[in-house]
Amino acid sequence: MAAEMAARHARMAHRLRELLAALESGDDSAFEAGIDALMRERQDGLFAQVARLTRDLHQAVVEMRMDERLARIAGHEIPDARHRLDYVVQMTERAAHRTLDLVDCARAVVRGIEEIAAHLAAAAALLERAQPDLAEVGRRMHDAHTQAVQHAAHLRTTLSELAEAQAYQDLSGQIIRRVIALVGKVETALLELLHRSSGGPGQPVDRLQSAANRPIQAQSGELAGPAVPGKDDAASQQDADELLARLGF
Amino acid sequence: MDKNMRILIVDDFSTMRRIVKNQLADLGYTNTVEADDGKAAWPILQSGGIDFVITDWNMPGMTGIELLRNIRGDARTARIPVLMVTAEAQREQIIEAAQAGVNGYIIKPFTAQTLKEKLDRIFARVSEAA
Repeated sequence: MAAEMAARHARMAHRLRELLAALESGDDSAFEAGIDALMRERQDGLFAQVARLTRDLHQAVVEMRMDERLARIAGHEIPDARHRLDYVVQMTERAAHRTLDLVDCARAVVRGIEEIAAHLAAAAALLERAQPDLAEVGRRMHDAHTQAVQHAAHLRTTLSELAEAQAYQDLSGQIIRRVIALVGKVETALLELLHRSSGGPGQPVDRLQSAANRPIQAQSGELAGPAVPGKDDAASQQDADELLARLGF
Repeated sequence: MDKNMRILIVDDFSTMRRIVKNQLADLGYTNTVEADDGKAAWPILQSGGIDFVITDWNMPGMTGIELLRNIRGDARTARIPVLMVTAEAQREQIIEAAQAGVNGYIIKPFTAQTLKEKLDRIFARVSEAA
């Protein structure tokens, strides 16, 4: 920048000396041409300055947009995602309890079927007597039939409600996908920010990209949590059994 | 094994406690008590009468491994069998639990059959030792 300025000053001094010489020698056309060149020189400098200002302004606008984007993500989208994930936890918990309630209903049906079986066995025992009370056998079989029909209807309703209770998977899946998309956006914004602040290749951003394939490392003292199939180097139940067997369990 | 034994189920997720409780009921063990972390489980253990503990690992307050160490470290509870039922599937964790004196280790998600196998195995060992 300083060298450019010095060259410009030298050029100006040269032109001024030429201009003075033309004036003193009465060379009007040379004087006019010199004035024109001087004006052009000044204009060129002005243009260069305007160009630099424009570049700075553009950069400032880009950075402002970047700041706006990060501010929107940090101020709105992340709290929103947290709220949605909380909702997923609540929704899955509710669905699990609903499912378990319905399983309890189905258990009651199983007990009912066992009672029907007992009634039928009792009816069969009556038939084995020398003179069976056929009317009594008929009454018991009729009762067993009525109960079986009731239990079948109850079980059918329970099963369809069980199926309905699985709707949480669709909803929670959609919410989780949105959060995955948000995490992607945060990643992109952070990478751009690093690019901007690191100013070129070989900087922290490249190390970050090369580290992207590494799994999230648990901090010391933190547990790995549920294993994701194909992602974590986790033991299966069989591995765990073998490991414990080797340790003498 | 005595089907009336008192089993303490420790897990911070109420649904998981309920699933374990139902599976135990299917196996004939209906005398259960629940706690939502090690901190809540500890006074229950201290008050006595618990014959078996099934605990998760990762819980707020007091984790399952801390609970296990407390159980083994107290003469009154040291002999209670402890079955760890957890999503933690790293080998180091399994070894850590074994070193802390766990009696069995089940990785979530698990089936009723796995729970039955581990319980049978632990009971067989306990009666061998007795």
